[in-house]
Amino acid sequence: MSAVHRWVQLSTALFVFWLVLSMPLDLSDLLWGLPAAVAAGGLAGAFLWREASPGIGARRVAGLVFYTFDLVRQIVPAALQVARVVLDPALPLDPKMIVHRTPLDDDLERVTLANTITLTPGTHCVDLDGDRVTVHCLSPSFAASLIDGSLDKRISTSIGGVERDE
Amino acid sequence: MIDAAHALLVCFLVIAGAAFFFIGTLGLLRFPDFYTRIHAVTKCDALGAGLVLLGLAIWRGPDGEGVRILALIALLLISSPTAGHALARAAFRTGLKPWTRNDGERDGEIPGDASERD
Repeated sequence: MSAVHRWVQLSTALFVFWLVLSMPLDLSDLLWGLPAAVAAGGLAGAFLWREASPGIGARRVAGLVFYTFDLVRQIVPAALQVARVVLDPALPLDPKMIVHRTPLDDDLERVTLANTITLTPGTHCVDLDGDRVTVHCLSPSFAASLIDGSLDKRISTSIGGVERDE
Repeated sequence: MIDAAHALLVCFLVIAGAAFFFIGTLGLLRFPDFYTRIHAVTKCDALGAGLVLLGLAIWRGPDGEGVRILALIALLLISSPTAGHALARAAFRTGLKPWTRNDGERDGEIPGDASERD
């Protein structure tokens, strides 16, 4: 995809988001939003999607919405566990760095995995390099669903692409 | 009756969000090093602010403003972990060592040797 094409796509997406946020519209909203979207799109285009577009179709958007609800179900119990650690006078921390090799081979899936890890209390993604995900966890028990691979599976069933079967 | 349940749900969500901010701030103060503290801060942003915003969206109902707040939640769920990841990655790639249980015990025996730890 050419740089200009990428710029136009990103700016359009940003401008639509701006329009949603600034409804009801008047002229000044458009006058401020359009240059801001064009500038931000150009800036983002220098880094994002250099090799290929992530290919987000309707099925993936639906999958992401579904996955958000699944994510909330994962987050709540973990959040209560972390609250218990923070409030415990003894502060029972046992932080560990874990390197996980993910079977997910698509950028969108990997980013979803990294952000899920970071959003889930008790685990925080510190590096994502190819299929190596480096995760810092407050204690090893928080990383259980990561280590046994069930997190990878949940993501690939929700938003997995067809290209994974090759 | 429905109004009361509606208000109660909104109160519950906003109070739960505030509780997350409180616990996250407490974690920021109590945790021993950069990596453990960034856990606390990132979860504050995403879960605390997310719950408060969700409460506000439900309070407004399905008019334009409620939908806009949902769009903000979506933005928050992407931007907050991304920013947390960028910070942690910067620390990791510059070689900052994470605190471990053993460091804590050693510090307990010899106060003030944290600068020599490596």
